[in-house]
Amino acid sequence: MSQLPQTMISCRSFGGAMARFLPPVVWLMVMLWCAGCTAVDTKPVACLQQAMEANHKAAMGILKGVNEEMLPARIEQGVAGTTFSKDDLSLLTPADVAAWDDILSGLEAYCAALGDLTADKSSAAFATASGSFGLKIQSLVKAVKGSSAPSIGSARTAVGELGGILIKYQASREARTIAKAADPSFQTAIRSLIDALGFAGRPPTPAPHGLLATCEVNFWAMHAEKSDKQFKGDAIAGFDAMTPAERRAAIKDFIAWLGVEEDHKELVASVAALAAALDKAAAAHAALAQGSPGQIDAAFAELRAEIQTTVQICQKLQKG
Amino acid sequence: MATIDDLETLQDGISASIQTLLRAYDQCADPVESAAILIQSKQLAAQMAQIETNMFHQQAIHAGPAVDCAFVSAKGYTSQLKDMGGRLDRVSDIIATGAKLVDVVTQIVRWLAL
Repeated sequence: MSQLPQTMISCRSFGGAMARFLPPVVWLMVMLWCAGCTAVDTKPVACLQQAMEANHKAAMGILKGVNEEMLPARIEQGVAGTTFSKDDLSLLTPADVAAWDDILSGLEAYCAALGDLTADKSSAAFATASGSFGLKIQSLVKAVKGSSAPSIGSARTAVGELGGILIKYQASREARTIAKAADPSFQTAIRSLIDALGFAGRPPTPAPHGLLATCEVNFWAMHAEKSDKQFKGDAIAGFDAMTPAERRAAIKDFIAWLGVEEDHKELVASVAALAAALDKAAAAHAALAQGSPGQIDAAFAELRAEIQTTVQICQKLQKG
Repeated sequence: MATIDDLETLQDGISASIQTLLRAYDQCADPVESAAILIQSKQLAAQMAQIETNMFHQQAIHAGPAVDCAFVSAKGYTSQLKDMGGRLDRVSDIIATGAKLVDVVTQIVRWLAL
């Protein structure tokens, strides 16, 4: 986060010299690139495709991040138990994470098929593409094995239906007709993922159960000694009575704690941002399926704004 | 029979109970009581994680009336802890109820793993 303003400042001084030489359009593109922004496609379907691609990457990074953050707690819990196996290492099993990966790939493939339809390709090209995307989606969800989670089950069924719809409507040239037929399944798949992340309602708000709540209570219980006693109120308790060596050690501990706390807050913010981005994608798809031109514009304007946030989450998670 | 909704409600209760325990820990100056509260909050957090992992794998728990009884007890204890969170003046009561909640959730988690 702290790098962004610096980048923008350096862009401004660099921009002063370059502005005279670059035509306005190129200048805008350079500014977007300098600011670390991803150029968002303005065509609705391409925008939806881009959003789902970013959501997929962010979701996988977040599920991995949650498992990593829970690892110290899992180790401590494992020490207290009598047995320890691979399953005890992670909150979400590898099979569940892989299942979400396949389901999100299916959603991405569906959006790619819609994108092909609106990219001025011939009917024959779309028919071939949608047929193969449909089969691809169906084979992806058939590959979802080893996970019988209720949310994964309903998302898997819904995404399988998307594949069927693409095959059924492959002769159609109407993105809206397909989106209308596919919307209930698209909504179910997205809602299942939002639910699995631990959110409820629209706009999604954190629930006291589920993935995020579990992650939160484990983090604060695990670090209660530091947050509530040792470093209560973001200060080192009993610092005055410490020897210089103790103070040095306490400051190092304090810095480490602040880093851990910051990482956790960023993870929580990322999960919330992903839930919001998924909700916006669902709203945009619903508008595409049956909204008025004004509703489509409004829904996609919100989706475009959300893509930037999701791309930033992916970048942060990749760096982390 | 306990459903996913029951498990979610149980998680809601555990989540609120941990918040009460952590608030009590924050204010507690007695080292013995603080240690007891900390251990309970970690145990309940671990149990919430076990429920979360298992909730991903089943629709319902079929283990007879004993499960229903355990869920009713857990609901009672989480409700008591939630009420105690408003006062925080009787730490020993919080610890005693926390211990009962840990015990009953241990039974539920054992059924989940079956």
